[in-house]
Amino acid sequence: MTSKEVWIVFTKSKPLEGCSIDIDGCDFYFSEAYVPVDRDGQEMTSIAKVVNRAKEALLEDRLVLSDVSKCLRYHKEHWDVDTVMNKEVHSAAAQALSSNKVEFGGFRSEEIEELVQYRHNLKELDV
Amino acid sequence: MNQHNGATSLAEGQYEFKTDVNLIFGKQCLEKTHVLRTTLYSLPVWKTRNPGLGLSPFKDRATGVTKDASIIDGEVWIFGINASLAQGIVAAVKIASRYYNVKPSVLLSDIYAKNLNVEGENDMANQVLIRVNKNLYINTCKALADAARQLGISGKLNFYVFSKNNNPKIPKPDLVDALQSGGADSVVTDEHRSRVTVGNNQGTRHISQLTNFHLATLKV
Repeated sequence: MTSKEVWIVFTKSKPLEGCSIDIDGCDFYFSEAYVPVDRDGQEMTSIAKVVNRAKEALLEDRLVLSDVSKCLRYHKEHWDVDTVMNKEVHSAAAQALSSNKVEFGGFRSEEIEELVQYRHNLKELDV
Repeated sequence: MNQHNGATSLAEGQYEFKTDVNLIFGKQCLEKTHVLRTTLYSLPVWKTRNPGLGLSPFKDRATGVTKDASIIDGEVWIFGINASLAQGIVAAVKIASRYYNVKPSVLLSDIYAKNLNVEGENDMANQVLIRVNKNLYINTCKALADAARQLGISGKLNFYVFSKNNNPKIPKPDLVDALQSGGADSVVTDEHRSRVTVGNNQGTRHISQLTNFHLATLKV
């Protein structure tokens, strides 16, 4: 049985000439890639494949992937705190599922990246 | 209280990332009550770039040219306006000044633009891009002054520009040079930087950054 899932890859990438978002002049830009994956039965998803698809999608935008800080599977319920950022996570993940293409959230310049901290909360059930 | 604080924005890309027209130097805000927003994109293109945004479009033929317009959040938006051509700016200001029932000078005294950038940059080397972007700013300054004259405005225009000093598509020295070549008496840069979100021309990507804020004074 095949099921569809989305992986979120936290990327750091270097712009090439002609990169449309390179208006900051920083060395690296940061963004999350939402990668839709067809999962075949019990077989484990290959993280390398997921990262590679993010890398290819970045290159289409003239960005060269240079580092990945996190790679995690999207579970809607893990992002249920109602914040602007989580809204973007849900909408980008939903878009990736429906388009079956790699989608990106907003890009951040290096200075902004220093100001932004991501918290990913896992809910503990009181049992 | 001054009832007539107005502003015009140029080259809006997406509703979500619309230009802050209230910002003035020193991280201060001057709330604008009469805002005209213009975009190069036609109404159909705008709709595909801003899916899900409620519009109440209308056509305005009163100025001799037909323009698509809409009121969004109580502000006047006019579509298909090339900021480097006076004719379109004149038409847009006329429509908005009639809508608000204020003089054109209320709208065109303060003009805002965020990162003007020519289309088709993917095929250009940065050096070429800087040159064409300089021309874009030069022509925009000239068009603004020309439009002001046609609208019977005299005195000076404040042209505020958001662009990072080391923006590879037009670094500050080139930006200042372009604004001056376009007729600016003076160009000053605020010591404060502001956080903005900027969309690319294709409408596919956006970036959050800390950017510089410049003021060019255009004499009319």
